Parts: sequence; C-alpha cells; structure tokens
Amino acid sequence: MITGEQDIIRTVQVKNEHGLHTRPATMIVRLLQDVKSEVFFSYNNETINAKSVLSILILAAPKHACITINTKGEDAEEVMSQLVEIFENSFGEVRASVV
Amino acid sequence: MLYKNQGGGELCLKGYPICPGIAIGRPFFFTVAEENVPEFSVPHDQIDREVDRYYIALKDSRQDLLFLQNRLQKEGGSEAADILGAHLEIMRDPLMTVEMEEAIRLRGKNTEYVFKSVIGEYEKKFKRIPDALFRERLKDFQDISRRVIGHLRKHERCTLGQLTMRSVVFALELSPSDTAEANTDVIEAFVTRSGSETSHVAIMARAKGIPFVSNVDFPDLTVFMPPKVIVDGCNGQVIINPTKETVKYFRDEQKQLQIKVKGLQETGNIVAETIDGCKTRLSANIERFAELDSLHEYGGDGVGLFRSEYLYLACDSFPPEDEQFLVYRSIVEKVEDYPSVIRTFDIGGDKLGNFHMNRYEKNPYLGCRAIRLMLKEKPIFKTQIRAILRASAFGELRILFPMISGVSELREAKEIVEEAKEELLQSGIPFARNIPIGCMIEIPSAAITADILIKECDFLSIGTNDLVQYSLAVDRDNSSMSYLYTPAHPSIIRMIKMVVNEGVKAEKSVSVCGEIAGDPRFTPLLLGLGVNELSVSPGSIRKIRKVISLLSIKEAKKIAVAVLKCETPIEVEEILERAYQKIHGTF
Repeated sequence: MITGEQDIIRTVQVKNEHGLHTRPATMIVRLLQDVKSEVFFSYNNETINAKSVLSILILAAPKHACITINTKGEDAEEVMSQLVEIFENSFGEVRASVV
Repeated sequence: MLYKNQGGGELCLKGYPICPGIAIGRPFFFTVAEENVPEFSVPHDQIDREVDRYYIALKDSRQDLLFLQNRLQKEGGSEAADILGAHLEIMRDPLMTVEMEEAIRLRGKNTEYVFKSVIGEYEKKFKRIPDALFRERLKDFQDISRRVIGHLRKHERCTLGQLTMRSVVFALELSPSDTAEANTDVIEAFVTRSGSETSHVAIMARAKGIPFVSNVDFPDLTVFMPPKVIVDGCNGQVIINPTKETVKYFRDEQKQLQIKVKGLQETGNIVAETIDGCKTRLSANIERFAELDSLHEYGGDGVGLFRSEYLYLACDSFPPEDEQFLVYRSIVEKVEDYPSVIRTFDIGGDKLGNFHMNRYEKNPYLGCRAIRLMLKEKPIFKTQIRAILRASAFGELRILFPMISGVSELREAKEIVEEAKEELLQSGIPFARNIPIGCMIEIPSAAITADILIKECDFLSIGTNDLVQYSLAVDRDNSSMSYLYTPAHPSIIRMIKMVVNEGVKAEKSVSVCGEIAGDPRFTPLLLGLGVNELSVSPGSIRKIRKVISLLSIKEAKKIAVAVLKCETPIEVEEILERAYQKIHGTF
C-alpha cells in the first residue's frame, strides 16, 4: 500500500445519453470543489483539468466515450472512487421512459 | 443637432406616440458596447493592478447574475434562473480565474485585451466541436464574456437591466432583447431616434406600459445631459430641460391619467360580452413567464399567443427539450381554465439573436425565418414540438405555426408533429393525442387561401402586424415609410373578412392577435366582421373588455359594413374614430 502522494489512473466510460454536457460537468466540478488532489481527464489525446467546467465541456465527450481519470494527491484514492461511482451511475440521470 | 446649455432653455421635440403615459425624470443615454478593444502594454509594477481590475469585473458580473437570478426566482422563472446558475459556475472556472490571471501577467498587456484574446481562443475550441449540444454552450460563454467586458469598460456599456436609477432611456434604437431586460420599476420611458410603431420593441413597451416616443431627433446627449426631461407618450412629445411651469402642467396631466387608468381597472369583473349578448374570448399575448401573473390580475381568458422565441432570446440558444417542457408545463398549470396557444419559434427579422450571424440575407423578412427556418432545422423544431406535446398532458395546449405561406408548409409541419407523437408513443410518454394545430395568417397568400388551410388545421390566428407589412410592402421599422403602414387599409379589412368567413364556414375558430386586437378603435370593426377571439397584451385586456361591454353587435356589424365600403385608410379611420368617440363618451 502506497501512502502519501498517490498517483492513480483509471478508465471509465460515459454512460449518459448526451455525454458529458452541462449537468454532469457541473456535478463533477462541484464534487471536486474542496478536493486537495489534482484531477485530470484524458480523452481523444487531450488532457484537461477536471476542476474546470469549461474544460470538461470543451472535451465534448459523447456517450460511450472512454475517459482516463488521473488523480494525484493525498486524497487521490477517495476522489477516484467517488468519480468512478458517479460515472457508473450516469450522473443520476434516469432514462425518460414512462412519465 | 447640438444643444448647448443656454441657461436652462426648454426644448420641445416631436415624435411618434408609441405607448401612452407621462414620465418626468432624468435621462439616460443607452448605447451598445464597441467591438474594438484597445491594446497596450502594462509596465511590470502595474500588473498587479490589472489583475485586480479583472477580479473586480468578475465579482461585479457575478453580482449581476445573482441579482437577476434572484429576481427571476421571484417572478417564477426558475428555468431561466437555472441558466444563470450555470453561468455563475462558469465564472468560478479556473480558466476564468487563475488561468486568466496567469495570462495577464505573462503577456503584460491590459486586462480587456488579454481577456478578449483568451476568450477568443476558447471560442475557437468550442466552435470546433461537432456536437451541436456542446457547441451551444458557446452562447453561454459569449454571454458571460460580454458581461465581464462590460464591467471592465464600465463607461462604455450598460444593459437596460443593469440600470439602477430611475431613468428615461434615450437610444438611437432599441432591440427586443434590450427591452426584455427592462425593469418597469426603474425605466420611466423610452425615447428613440428611429423605429416604428409596431416593431417588437414597441409591443414590448406597451405590454409593460412604459411610455414610448419614437422618431425623435434628440440632441447629442454626450455633449450635454439635461437634468430633467418629460416624455408625453400620449401626444408624442419629448421636452428637454422643462421649465417649472411645464413640469407642473405635466404633473397634473399625470394625475389625471392615473385617475382615468384606475377607472378602467375597476371594470375588472365585467365579462367580455356585448350589450346584446355576443361573447368574445379575450386572451393574452405573452412572452415572459412573469406576464402570466398579470393575466390573472387582468382576467384574460387564457394565453392566446405565447411567443416562444423569447426563450431563445433569453439565453441566446434554443433551449433543450426538458427546459422547454418545464416552461410549457408551467404555463398550462398556471392557466387552468382556458387553453393556451404556443406559437413555435418565430426567429428572424428583428428578433435575430445570434443564430443568423453567419447567414446574411438581403431581405430577412422575406427570407429564412419562423416556420421556414424550423422546417430547415428539423431537429430543433421537433425538440420544441416534443416539449409542447409532453406539456399537453398536463393541460389544454394548442400549437400555432407562424408565417405559413401555403398548405404544403402546413402539411410538412404536421408531419413533424406526427413523427414526434409516434416517438413519444414508443417511449410511453403521455401527450394529448388530438392537440389542436393552427396557422398564423400573416402572409397574404395564406389569407387568400385560407379556405384551403382551414381544411387541414383546427384554428387560424390573424397576425395583422406582419400581414400589413407583407400586403402593403412596407418595412414597419422604416420610419420614413411608416405613413404607409396602416391596418386600416381596405385590403387588410377585406382579408380579415375573408379569413373569418372561412372560419365560420368550417366552424373553426379565427382569432386576431396583432396590435389592432388591442386597439379599442378597431374592436367594433373586428367584432362586426365576425371575429370572436382577440389576443392582446395583458395591459390591454381591461380596456378592450370595457369597450366590448359598451358595444352592441348590431352596431358593430353596421360599422363593419360601412368600413368595407371605404376606399382609403383615412376613410376607414374616420368611421372608426367617430364610433370610438361615441363609445368613449360613455366611459
């Protein structure tokens, strides 16, 4: 077990219908607001600061996109698991079926 | 015309009365921000100051949005408030804070120049995104940058919504977006150099009851700003630097006007029914959610026309389906007892927004706008239709297509509706199966073929503003030609009659939603021609209802017969004026 400065890399898939648009991007940024670690997303040969909602939007990751998350810092492990969970849950979006 | 301070000389100017009312207040000259931003190097020891300036501008912008957001929440515009919430998030973005600071320090240039170029770089990135939904966010971004630049260059820019001191606004011209921001608590009156009576700016001002005089050749206010002006919207007068006597005279006039208005307001509980029992449906034209409250206050019979394009103008992009759905659902939920008519996006002409930036048209009014634009941008159109259909599950809604020129367009639009219905059916989302569909009659070709159109839709709505424009070939914003623009032209009266007759034959509703619907002089004529539904701005509901209650349909029919014999607009106006005086005398 490595302690202290951790550098964790994992890959997740975007499950949301409309990809990483305003709502998920805002959720990510809010989640990372008080996080001490640095967090980066890589997609399509671009790496961006995940604490910047504009950067996430410019990434324009659609549904099924594979994002590589890189967290680095003292709370890296915790942040990573939170991020993975939120991606898994499609950012709380439920498919609009029977109203 | 240069006006020099000659020891308090009073200057009386004439213009066109657009919206009645009297205002006495301090003038404010409203201009649009310049595009060019100066560039200069900043010495090392002053760089901190530049960075501070930026953060202050950011803070001020944030405060604007918080204020507007708060106000929107109070007015019930929670969807629009959420949009501002997203803007606030963007302003906290590292790209807008630490990265911008770094850029200012690194480049050693003035803040606004650095800001504009950095923003430009991000804009380029946004524009490269293939997905339209993501690319739309560019609009949010541009809106925010404009606001921040406005604060960096305070002396150059102000939006009407940011005005905090009660003022009479002078401008060379105003756009509908500008006036949408106007706060009636703060803006006492509008005075413009150009513009014509029935443009959307005028309609907006009338809806808010803000006195408005246009076509005023006012002096250069940047040279001398008089401390006080009087705007007489009833007579089309603007008085610069009035004397004490003049002020007293107009204060008395103001009081008289208030008493008269109050008298009209007290007729709130009268039904819109003629003396001999002919009922007229009196609904409201609205574009802002807040106007629904005034609907309840004035007692209109539902929403006769919801100008949906203002959703687009409010955030400079077509809102996504869910956002639209929430707005339409709120409308039906707020207006319980009557149906509400949603007119699909009528973009183009003088309501450009940013959509047409890259599509130059020589004659925008004859070009790609309204239904034509929607039929070219089917995904956007279908999104709106889907949102309306979904909302129709919660109350009575009707769909109205603007600028229909012929039945083929109607058929094509209806196909989209069918497609949308099919999609929703497949997804198990409820909607009103038989939602009524109507056409706006604002193009002569539609009026003349109303018999063909009415076979394939459920109702018609005559938009006289554009109908006059297209029939008389007059640009309603061209002040030098505005003498030709008149709904009293015999051709217009005949077309109204033609359309109403088809409606009667087909037993389908024909309403009038143009400015004449809210003009009490035209009320007897319209009723006499057989119009049984008028959609007006909320502020006009009471006075039209009052006029109707003082009419007899028998008399109204006689007026219509007489008017149909006229050969010129002046003859028509004489008859209408005489009839109005007769009724007015009984007020």
